[in-house]
Amino acid sequence: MGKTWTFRKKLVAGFLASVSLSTLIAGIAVYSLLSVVENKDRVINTNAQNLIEAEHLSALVERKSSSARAFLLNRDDKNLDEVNSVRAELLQLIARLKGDVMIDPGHRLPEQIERAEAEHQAVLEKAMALRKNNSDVDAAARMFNEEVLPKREILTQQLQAFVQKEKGLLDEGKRAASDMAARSIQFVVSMTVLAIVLAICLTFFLTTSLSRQIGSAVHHVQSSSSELQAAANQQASCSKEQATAMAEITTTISELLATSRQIAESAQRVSQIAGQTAAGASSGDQSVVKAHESVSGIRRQVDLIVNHMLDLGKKSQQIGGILEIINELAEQTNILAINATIEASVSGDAGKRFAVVADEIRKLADRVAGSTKEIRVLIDEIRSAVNSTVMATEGGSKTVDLGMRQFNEVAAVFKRINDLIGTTTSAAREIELSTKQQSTAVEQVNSAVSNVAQASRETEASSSQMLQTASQLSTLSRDLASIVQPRSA
Amino acid sequence: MTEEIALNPARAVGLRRAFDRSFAEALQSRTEGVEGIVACRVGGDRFAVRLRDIAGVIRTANLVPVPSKQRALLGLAGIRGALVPIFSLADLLGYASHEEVWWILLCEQPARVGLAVGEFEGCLQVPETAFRVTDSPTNLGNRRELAVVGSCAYTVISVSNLVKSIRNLEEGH
Repeated sequence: MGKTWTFRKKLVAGFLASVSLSTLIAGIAVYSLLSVVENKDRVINTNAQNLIEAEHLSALVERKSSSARAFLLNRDDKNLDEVNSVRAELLQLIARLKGDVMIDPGHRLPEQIERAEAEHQAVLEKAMALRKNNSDVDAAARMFNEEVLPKREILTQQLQAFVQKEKGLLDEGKRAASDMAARSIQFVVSMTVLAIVLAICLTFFLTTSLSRQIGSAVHHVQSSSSELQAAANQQASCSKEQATAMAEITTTISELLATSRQIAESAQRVSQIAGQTAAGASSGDQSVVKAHESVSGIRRQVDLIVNHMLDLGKKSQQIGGILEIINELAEQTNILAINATIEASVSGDAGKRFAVVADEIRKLADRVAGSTKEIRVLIDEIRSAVNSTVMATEGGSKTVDLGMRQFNEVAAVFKRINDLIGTTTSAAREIELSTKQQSTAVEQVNSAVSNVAQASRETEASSSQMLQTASQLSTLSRDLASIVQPRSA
Repeated sequence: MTEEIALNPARAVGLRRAFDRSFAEALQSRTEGVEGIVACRVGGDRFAVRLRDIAGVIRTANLVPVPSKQRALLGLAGIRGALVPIFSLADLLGYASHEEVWWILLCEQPARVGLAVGEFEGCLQVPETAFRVTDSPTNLGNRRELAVVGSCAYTVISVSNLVKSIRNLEEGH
């Protein structure tokens, strides 16, 4: 129980035990005091009152006797009235005593007093009647002495007995009250001693238990404070590093914020340029359609040129054929002219004129042959040029075809590019919006990081403060341990 | 060349003027002191034959090979109603050439033979002063006659010496 109970429970239990014991002792003391008081009250209220009233009763009897003697002596009615009034008071007192006295002997005594008084009254009335009627003092005195006084003596005896009785009761009540008070004092002292013993035991138990518990707790506090001191040391170091890191992060975030703003501005420009590009792409699409029409026209023109060049090649071949004929004719003419010259040279003077003509013919044939050679060269050049042109044109036609296909591909690609530009424009706008949101987020992060940096600096300060507090706590725990367990301390 | 012709339209005019001038020149001035030669190439060298030594220039006729111990005899050809032996001028001049024969120079004196050449340049009217004789030997003799036309020099072939050489070959000398 002691191990499981807490410090508070033990203190409360000890306090409750002390309070309960004190309450018990106080209750017993109060009860005893009340009993003593009751006995005293009863002694005072009953026995003493009865004694007083008994004494008063004796006094009333004495007054009534005195008044009766005065009447007997003076025959004055006042005395008679007084006798009657005293007797009425006496009877009233006796009646009250009969009601108050409960003890049998005491109860009987008032009745005996009542009867003795009645007898005394009867004798007294007889003597007073005698005095009243006879007016003889002596007779009345004699009768008073002979009859009234004995009755009076009896009554006095009864009264004395009653007084003695009440005195005895009073003494008995006093003794009972004193005994009760003594017993109460003894009981209270015993309980007090018992309470002191219990308190000592409880104190010893609580002291031992709490010292052990507090000592253990102090030991734990001491070790914990040492650990806390080490942890605070480490936390201070970490907080310092964290503060430094947060400062670097703050700087980095600031740079990131600047970069993010630049990116946002660039994204905005990209979005604008993308919009312009989309507009340009739309106009470019129209240009592509026009260019496609132009390329188709070029293809038709190239086909036409190829056909014309082929015709030109055929014509040049025909010219070459005709030139072959001319050349052959020129060559044959030359041969004929040479042979004519030879014939003329052997014909003497008559052949000289023919030789001149033949020579002119030969020269013409030579010139024709030279011209045909030149024409052949020209025709060869034309044919070569035509062939080259045809080949180039065919190559151009193929190139145009290829260009058409490539242009169609380019148109398709351009259309795709146009679509992609639309997508790019949307993406650029999304990027612009995202970068703006990112800038806002980075600003928020920057603010948050600044707050965290401030918190880190405060944590660093708190860590230093905690380290100091841990040191103080360690010192306090050692002091407390030395207070609670000096040996262990 | 096309540009040259196009830039020289006066060429035809020059030809016409030269043609017309030929009628204006005196006949004697054109025939005296001038001798015609037929220029050809054999083995890449220039040779010439006087017009008065040949009877005609003929394109290659139907040449019929005949067996012969002379390597220079290419065969027989029918020319002007007669069978004419055709000899390779390159073989006769000592060239080991097997060039294709396109032209035949027909000789009447001192014997009717045909001299086959591969490349015929044409007929030239050469002044007599252009003929020179040198001492360098040839296959046909110890002296060489040259006809210098411009910057070109043609070795003039003596048909009589050539026919003599053919006869010597036939006789086994």
